[in-house]
Amino acid sequence: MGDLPAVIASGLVSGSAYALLALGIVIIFRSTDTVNFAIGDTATLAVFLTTSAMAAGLPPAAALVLAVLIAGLAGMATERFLIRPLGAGHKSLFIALVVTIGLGLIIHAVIGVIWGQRPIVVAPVATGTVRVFGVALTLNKIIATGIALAAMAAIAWLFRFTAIGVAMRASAEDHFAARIIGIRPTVIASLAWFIGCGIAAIAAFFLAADGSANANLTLSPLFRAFAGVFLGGLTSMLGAAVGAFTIGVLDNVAGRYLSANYRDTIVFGIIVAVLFIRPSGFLGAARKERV
Amino acid sequence: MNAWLRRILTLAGGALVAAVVGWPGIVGDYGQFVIASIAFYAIAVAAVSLLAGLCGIWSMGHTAFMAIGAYTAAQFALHGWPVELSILSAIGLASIAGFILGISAGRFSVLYFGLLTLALCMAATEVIGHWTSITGGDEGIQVSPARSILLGRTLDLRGAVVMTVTLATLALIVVDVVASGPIGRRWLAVKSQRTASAAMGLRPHVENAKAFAFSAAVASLAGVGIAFTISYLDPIAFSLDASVQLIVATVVGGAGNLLGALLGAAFIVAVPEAARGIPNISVFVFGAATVAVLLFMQKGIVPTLAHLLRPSRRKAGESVQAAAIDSAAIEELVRACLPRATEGLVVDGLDLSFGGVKALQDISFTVPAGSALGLIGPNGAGKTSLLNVIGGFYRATSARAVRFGAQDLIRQPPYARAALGMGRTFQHAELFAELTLRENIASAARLGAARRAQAGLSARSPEEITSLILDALGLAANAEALPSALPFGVQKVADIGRTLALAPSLVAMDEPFSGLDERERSAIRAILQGMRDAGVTILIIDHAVQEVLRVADRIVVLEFGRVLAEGAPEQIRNDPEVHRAYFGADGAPARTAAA
Repeated sequence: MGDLPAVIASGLVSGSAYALLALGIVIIFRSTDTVNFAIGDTATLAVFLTTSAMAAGLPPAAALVLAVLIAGLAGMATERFLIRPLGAGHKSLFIALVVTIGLGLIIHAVIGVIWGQRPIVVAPVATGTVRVFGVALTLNKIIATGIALAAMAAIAWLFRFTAIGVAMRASAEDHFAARIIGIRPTVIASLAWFIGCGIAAIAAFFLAADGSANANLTLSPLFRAFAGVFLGGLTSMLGAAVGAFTIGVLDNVAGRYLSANYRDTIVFGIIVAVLFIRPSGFLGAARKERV
Repeated sequence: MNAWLRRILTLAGGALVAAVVGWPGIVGDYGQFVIASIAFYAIAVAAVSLLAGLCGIWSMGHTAFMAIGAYTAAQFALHGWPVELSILSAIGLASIAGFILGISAGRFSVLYFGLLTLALCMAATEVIGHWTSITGGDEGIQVSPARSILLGRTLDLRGAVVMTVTLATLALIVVDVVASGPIGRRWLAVKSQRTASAAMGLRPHVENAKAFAFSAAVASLAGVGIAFTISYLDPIAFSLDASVQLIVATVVGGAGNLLGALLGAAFIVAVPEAARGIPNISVFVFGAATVAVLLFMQKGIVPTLAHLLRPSRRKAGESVQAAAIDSAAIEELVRACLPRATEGLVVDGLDLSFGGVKALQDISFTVPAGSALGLIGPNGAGKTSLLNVIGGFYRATSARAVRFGAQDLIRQPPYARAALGMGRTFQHAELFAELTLRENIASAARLGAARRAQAGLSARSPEEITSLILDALGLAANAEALPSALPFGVQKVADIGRTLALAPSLVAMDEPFSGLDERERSAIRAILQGMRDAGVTILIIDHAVQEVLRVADRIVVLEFGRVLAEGAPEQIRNDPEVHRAYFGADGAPARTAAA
């Protein structure tokens, strides 16, 4: 168990990517009641585009900003052209979910056509390793975690202290009431999809910077992000972030001490256990999530 | 189409395909492969589609259940055990796994199923990849031919295809029988109104779990089909991509539609076959088809076409008003269908807090059997909270007693109350949106059968009870309409009918008069009068103070979560405290307003 600190530290590092994805999922869900299964694919597409730009000489910092912008705009377009036409209401909830699954397939195919099936090699943002409290971590991961934490702090600041952030929170609590006091739901929705997909692109960018990227770049992290959302609840941003970090650590600990071959299965087991343990207050959870 | 005709045609179609495939020399190897693929995918798609259509649960993990079927079949064949046994074992294993997963996510919103099943699929893929002794790992495993104990011989490939077509035919028919029968109606009820279905005595999470288990069992048959017709199990067949294809097929064909399941299965078999050798094309077509179908024909291809071809239904507006209601007819109905009310409701010292907010404090009252208690009070007085405690949707923070007859209610969940004889109606009617009025009432009548039998009422079938209720409430002309096509007043009357079908001895009514015009109010008034005359115990909550004063024997007035006054209607009418609560400290205009 001597390597426990190292295992936990690297769990927290991977957890930061899951937390970004989880936040993206929750921000989008709160604004339009849509679970966006395409969030990972949208982010992956943005990263493929920017790695091409990086190969052409774009510096990494600019590439990261570009990836966030592309993914954000793609997210806005998704909301505008695929989700909004479905209309609001109980029924469109599941329809919207399935639409995003379809969109994910399309993006997958597009990536396959342009970049081929084999993984592309991505240059790391920085090389070398650093020892933090006696644990060796690549500089790449340190930077990734730092930027992820900064992005989460920025999100927290946005939602807590800015007028638009407060409006988004109000709209998440009650779309109808928010509309009455003059908050335009379409603006909120666009913004939420921009932010949600944008921060997912940060996660995807650093996942790729670990060495390579393929069309399934975000599949396994997204699955862990969903697990984190399970822990924290679909409507709580803080809960989702904490849940995602927890999954990152548990996954790493289980992978190290239980079985490296059954990591997804262990995460699945955690999800089922959480569902059994978590109090639902009978219809409480359903009501809170407007479903 | 008539249900039996549909099943007979399915059976005939399946028999025809089986005969053509089974006759040597008609269908070549490739044709057999295509037919087998469509057959086993039709089973899997029907399983996914059933769940999406009847429960609103979109599963991304059904390949896991197919895998259970496939690897069970492979292992049984390896040991030389008969195929019939492997089919039964696959069904058993898959339904147990499905039930456990269903009950875990069923306590939450159905959205959690989407996330849970994604996780299931990832876990299944991993287990298949690493449990090499059973699955052969990434290299896959060869499947020996199936040995049938019924036929007394080993099936060759042709025989396996015939078996798969037979399984598909039977699966489609069983799914159809379940989906269009009472069980399917129940699942639809839970899908559209979890609260109202719980108040009726259904346990939403258990119904979800049963549906999930059934669907999983069906999907496992697809796995058995794959094992023996492809003769080789490749983990790719059970990957997330394959699971997503089942969803694509469900969307394209139309969720909850059997012909749609067949069409969807043909679609996901045909596209990759047509796009052989060109990577990414089929994935793109699947994605594009899913998005396009959902944007432009949300119900899926088959239901949309069926809707276009069907002769246009009756236009709305025609005879949608409820017929006049006679309180004597209601009285007769109640005497025929409801047991005599013998239990009273007792609430003693009830407190309810949300965090630090005290919603109800020290509430005490009784509703003696056969009497009508009116609960009134200004907005925010705690009326609806109180009804939710009595209905079991909130748990009292503390109470000396909440009893119905001899039964302590404090720890009883909402779904246990219907069986005790407690019924309730809803402010917004909360009818089951995808069931007709007749089906709405019939689903309750089936649940009420036990109580009617217990009370020794004449042995009418649930269908007969439903017809009696429809007639007495003037709903017969609209019996086959969906609630959304009817005016709110008719919906509220139907909601009362649904409650009466449960054979309750107490009916708690949440704002029966709200949102109605004078004509509709008079209908409700007649129904209440009839129920009272027949001796139903009634608890009525409403803003329409005059209506409540007219119908109730006793009145309890709530203000700020406390009992402000209690007494006979006449007494309450003249109580200055009540006037102050309703009309402010002045009280002067109260006399005229409350007169």
